[in-house]
Amino acid sequence: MESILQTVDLTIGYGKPNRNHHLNKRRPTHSVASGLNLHLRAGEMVCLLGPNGAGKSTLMRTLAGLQPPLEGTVEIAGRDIRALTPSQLARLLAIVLTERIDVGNLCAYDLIALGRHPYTDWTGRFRIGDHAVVERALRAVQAWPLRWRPVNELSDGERQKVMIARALAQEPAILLLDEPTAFLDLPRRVEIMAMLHELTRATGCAILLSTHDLDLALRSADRLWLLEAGGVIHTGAPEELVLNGAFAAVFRGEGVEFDAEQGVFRLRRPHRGVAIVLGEGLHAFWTVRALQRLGFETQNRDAQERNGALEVRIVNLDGVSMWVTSNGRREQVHSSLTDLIESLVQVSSKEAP
Amino acid sequence: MSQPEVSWDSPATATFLHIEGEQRPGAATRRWVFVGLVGVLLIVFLLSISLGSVAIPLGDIGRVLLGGEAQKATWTTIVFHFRLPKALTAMLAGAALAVSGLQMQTLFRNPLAGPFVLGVSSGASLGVALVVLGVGAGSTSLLAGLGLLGNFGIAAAASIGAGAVMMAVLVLARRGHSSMTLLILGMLFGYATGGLVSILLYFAIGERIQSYLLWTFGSFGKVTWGQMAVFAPTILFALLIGVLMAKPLNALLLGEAYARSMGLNVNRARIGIVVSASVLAGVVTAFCGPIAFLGVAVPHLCRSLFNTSDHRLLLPGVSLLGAVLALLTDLIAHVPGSSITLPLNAVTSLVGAPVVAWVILRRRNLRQAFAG
Repeated sequence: MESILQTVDLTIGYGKPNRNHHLNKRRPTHSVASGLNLHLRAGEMVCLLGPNGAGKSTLMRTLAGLQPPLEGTVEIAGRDIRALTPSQLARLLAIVLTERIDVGNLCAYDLIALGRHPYTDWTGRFRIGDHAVVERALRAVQAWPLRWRPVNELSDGERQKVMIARALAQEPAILLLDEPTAFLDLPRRVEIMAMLHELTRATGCAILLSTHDLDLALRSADRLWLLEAGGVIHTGAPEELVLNGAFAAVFRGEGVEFDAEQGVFRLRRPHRGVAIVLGEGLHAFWTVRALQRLGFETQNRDAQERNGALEVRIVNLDGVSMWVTSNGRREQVHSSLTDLIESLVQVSSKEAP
Repeated sequence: MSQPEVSWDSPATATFLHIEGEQRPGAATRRWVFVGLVGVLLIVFLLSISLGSVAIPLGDIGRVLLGGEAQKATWTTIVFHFRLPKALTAMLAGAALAVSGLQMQTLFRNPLAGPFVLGVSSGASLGVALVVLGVGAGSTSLLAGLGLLGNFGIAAAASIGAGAVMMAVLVLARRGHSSMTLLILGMLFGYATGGLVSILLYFAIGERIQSYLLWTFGSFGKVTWGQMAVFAPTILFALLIGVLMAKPLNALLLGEAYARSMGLNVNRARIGIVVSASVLAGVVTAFCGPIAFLGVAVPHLCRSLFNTSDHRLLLPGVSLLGAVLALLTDLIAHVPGSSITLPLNAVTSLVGAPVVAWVILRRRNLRQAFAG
């Protein structure tokens, strides 16, 4: 598919744009990333990931035309965004920002109606079609029942839906969202991401969102833009970036490592030895997770090295699960996973000097 | 340009649309509040012409307003030459200050912004002080005797003073200084102005000092018909510009980044708002003195009254409420049935300060107070 947004040798950062060379001496430019050649296709959802301070927000602001590029261009629908009038740009691109806006006592409907700004005349008067667009936006984010509620009284999740609906009311071809799930609990995050994904499919609108939610981004994005701290950007399908190691490299940090087998980040804990889990199903899965959290290297039942390993057997007696641990010297029975974890934690604190 | 193919009518988002026919909650109430405000304005207008040191029956007022004569010739003179221009001035000034306050509160996203607090009035005062205390030789009273040219001179001095302060505040705001910084700088500018004015006063002659001090008390009663020819059109014109700014002001409710992303030319809007607000505040200050609190308090009252932040409702709303409150405070200042006239600023402060305090306490914090 044709790309709706692309950047050509884009350099982002702060300071005056290079056109005003005479000003550069007083305010030196600080480039965050340079030589970016990115593109965004209609109908795809791209997640922008990167460690804090890598320049995600700067890139978003530059793409949105809120901040001039230091060098290079941002093109939307084949035209340099600096050549577009503000109103033309607003019909092509809408944003949802991280900062929580105090909108006074506007109700959700009025807030979303503000999104019709580029389409209405100087009085801001609505025509029939405008009402229909606002209604469609409300329904697209499943916020129809909220329409007359004051925005200040909405929960964070409801509020974010309304802010997204406001952007949709601009009927944009591109939607940029800066950390749209930052203040939400996990179920709301999943809901918002699923909703955004659906929007791209239903409307053909391209969505670029920055997030810290790596797991969710891996699972829902069509493509990822991985912005490294030095300003290098890796793009590709999420799975591709995991396979070629880019994902692990960008987020490598103190005490954290990316487990490419499970697709999750894991705290690097002091190694406490090997544990072998004997059991099946969900119980086994979460027992493994618990042991890994406590710093055990887990192996399955076929493990060759059993010497010195902690063996955890999950026994099911008449529907009641029990955990039997054995370290070769003595066996212990735990009636719950919590019990097991607590006894292992106690052992470790005794072992500690 | 070629619009990319994005369909907003796809089956997934298309729904049975029925918002057109839906009555929005509170719409009827708002209409009645408007009608009520117009009614109250009429009543207060008539009262302010009728009441004063001499009470004049409504029937005579009606006759004078329709071009006839009252029972007593003095009544005709009082109504036509004193109370009518005073009431008109109060209405215009009240509306102007309220609109100016609303514009600044939205532009700066600050609940305490207003002509008085941000130092705009101080700028106007400085302009007027320079004209009255420094130039304007030969005139004993502030405005009388200066003639049409003098009116323009003072109004221009006040507007330029107010505009200069607004521009300075804007430059600081654009550099990313917080609203709190702006407020503090506005206050500091007020103190600095006070210092400069004191120096001017020290070197000025007694009559000039007295007329300047009288000007600082605030009064709606000093505008003659001749001056009204300058005052009213200027205010009405600036109010008109203010009303044209309703859509940009609404967009600015979300902050400048969102406003820009929605296609607002933020710089142009900012200039329009600053010009309108500083002309309104400056001209009122020039002719009536620095009137305290009306500009800050009325927008808050209005947001509560109409339960909205939509400037298309708020602009007419604050104009009406500002006019009503200005007439009421003037009525109180003249203590009906007595010949006492209290300084107008004493009354507006005593009424306005509790209102602002109430707004802050009710909302627990300033950020929410902006929500009105």
